[in-house]
Amino acid sequence: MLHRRYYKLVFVFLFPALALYAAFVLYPTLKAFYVSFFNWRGVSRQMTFVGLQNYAKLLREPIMWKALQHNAFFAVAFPVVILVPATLIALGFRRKVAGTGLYRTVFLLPNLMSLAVVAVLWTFLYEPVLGPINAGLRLLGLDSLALPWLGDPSVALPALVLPIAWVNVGFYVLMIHAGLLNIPQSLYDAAVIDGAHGWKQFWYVTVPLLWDIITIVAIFIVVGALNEFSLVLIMTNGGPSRSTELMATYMYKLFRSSRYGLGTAVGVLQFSLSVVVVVVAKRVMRREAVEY
Amino acid sequence: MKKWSFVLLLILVGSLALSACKAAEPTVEAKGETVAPTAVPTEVPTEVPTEVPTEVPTEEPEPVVLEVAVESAGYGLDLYEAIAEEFDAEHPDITVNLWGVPEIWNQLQARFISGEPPDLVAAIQIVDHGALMAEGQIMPLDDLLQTPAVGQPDTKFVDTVISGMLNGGKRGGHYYLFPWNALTLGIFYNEGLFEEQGWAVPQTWQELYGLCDSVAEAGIVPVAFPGVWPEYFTLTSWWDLIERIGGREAQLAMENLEPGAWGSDVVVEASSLIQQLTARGYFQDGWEGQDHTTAQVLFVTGGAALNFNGSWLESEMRDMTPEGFKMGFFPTPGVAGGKGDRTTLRVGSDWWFIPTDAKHPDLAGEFLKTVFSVENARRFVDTTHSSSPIIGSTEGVEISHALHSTVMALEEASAVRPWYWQVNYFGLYDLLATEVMGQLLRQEISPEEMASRLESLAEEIRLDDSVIKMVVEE
Repeated sequence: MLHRRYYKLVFVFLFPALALYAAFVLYPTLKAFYVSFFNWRGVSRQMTFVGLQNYAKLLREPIMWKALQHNAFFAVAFPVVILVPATLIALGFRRKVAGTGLYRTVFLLPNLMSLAVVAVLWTFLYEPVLGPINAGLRLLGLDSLALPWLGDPSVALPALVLPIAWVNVGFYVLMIHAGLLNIPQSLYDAAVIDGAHGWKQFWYVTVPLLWDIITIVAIFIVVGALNEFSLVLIMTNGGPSRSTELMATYMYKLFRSSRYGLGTAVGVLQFSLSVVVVVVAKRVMRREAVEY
Repeated sequence: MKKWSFVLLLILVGSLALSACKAAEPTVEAKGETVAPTAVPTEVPTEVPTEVPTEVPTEEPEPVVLEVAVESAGYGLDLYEAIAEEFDAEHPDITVNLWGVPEIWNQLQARFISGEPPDLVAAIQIVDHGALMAEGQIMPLDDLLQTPAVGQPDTKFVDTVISGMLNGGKRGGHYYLFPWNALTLGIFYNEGLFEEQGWAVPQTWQELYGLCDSVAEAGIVPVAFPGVWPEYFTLTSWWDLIERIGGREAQLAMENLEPGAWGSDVVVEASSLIQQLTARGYFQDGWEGQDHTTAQVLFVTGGAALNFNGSWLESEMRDMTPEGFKMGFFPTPGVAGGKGDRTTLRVGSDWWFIPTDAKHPDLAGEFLKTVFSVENARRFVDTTHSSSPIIGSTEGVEISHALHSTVMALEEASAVRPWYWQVNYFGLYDLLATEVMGQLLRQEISPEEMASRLESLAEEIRLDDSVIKMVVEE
């Protein structure tokens, strides 16, 4: 318990960050809620109050439901293709092998690249005729799998999972690796003595002690899936035929067509969904704290 | 202390929340056309000063600063900075503050909302001119257009512009936007290959199919097409085909959202003609997943004979086009038995405009006329290798074969057609470009289904009172 005078000092130091947060996060969020109740073209101050009409329109809009489905697909797929590989790679870093430091850098590099560069790179990789992926498949005699990845509505959305995962895995490898470093080796030694090896060590020692990190990473990934935007916009622009349309890309298009009220309503729904997901995820993944 | 900290935090958050609740007073949306504000003052001062001032002012008045914002993404700023310097030299009491960035609307939007826009704006990228016009944010140019052109005192400014080019910036009988360029849209072809093989430019769509068959027999891809961006068809031939088949009246019916217009037999036939191109296998392998750059590279490197595109193609592909590649252009072919003229040309443009809240609208008008004098239009063509909307802009200027080809088509066009519905009713364009054109080309929907979906959306827009309807007459 700090002495009372220290609370003043804490508040003084916290105030600038709090003020910035209020100005650049809280205020825009509250303003967005406000704008969502208006029709606004975004070129002047003229706004017309429409109440909940924007939300009613969105609930009737097939594009919105399609976008929601696509975000939900990402929310299910991303934990599998990001969290699992990130955990395995982080576990691999525990082994003292030559080049571990280099591998750590290499895995993080995609996360440091500009998303526009990543999008152009993967658009080329997926190019149906000249791209290396299809070229490799043809070389292996798998011509039937050499598809127009970004041009076929049935495969475009799954095809986007790979570049998004490629960009993000490295960051979560670092987070999980940091969590693993906090687990004392003595616990693994004790587990060996008790006869637990390999998978059992992972399940009975690593996972419980890493659970808080795993929860945070999972929440980040799912919220990221609900808010995914840049890569999809550049690579497919929500096409072909809206087969990769997301809430964020739909919102962007509404802004582009000067429907700021409706677009903001999409943003508010997106935000609300993210909050619900965080609350539910924290409840579902809650377990007793393990201390050592 | 904890309690006081918490209270202060609540006050901070609460005050921010309350300030978020303060808003501009909601206004009733204008229905139909906006009233055009006039640029010419109509009130004459009635009081004449009678006293002679005894004090002689010793300080020279500061020059008026004319702010001009030019998007730098398309053509750079060098030419316009040079024009600004020349304008300054000719007008010592005026200083032109010309600045520009790519995607200039990102910087200007907040200024328009706060009522402090520049005096003159030139924009290429995402600017919703329709919304700006609908909310009275753009000043009409009607009076300016009737004044003498710079360098041609006997000619009105309006008469220096290629006929029809101003129509894209017209709303409710008033001209609001001035065209920056003349972006002709149609079909580019490998003219060198045509000469080699003895192929003729098709005059009808049926001849186009025959040409594509001949090209395919020669082992060359007939059409290089970007499946990832199917709007390359909506931008060009689909809209032209509507007129080729049903005449201008069919297009006007669609522009004015007349019941049944978007689902008509004309739309079905046009869509069917487009769909045949993929049904007959005229596109390159893997076209569904290729973007416009890949398709364009295939075309300029001789891998394909035709490319549906716009006149920016040459500039865009300059670095990748091999020496000696001869690029030609022809408008969308006609349709046998159709009502429309096959020479009409779909021409798009980027726009200059004077904001209603400009501090110096008259000076902005003078600078606009200077930028679009014939002399400066020729400089534009010479430095950017792009078409200008000004008559005579290519005289005495060395231009490429491709540009010459598009200019010839412009000169021979019986009419220049803008389209309004892309701006007025963006949802329709979005549906076409993002969904149905791609589905049509991939044979996932029939032309009838496509027309039906377009008609449903057109009806929805027609019945939606929150969407301002514009009447298109010509």
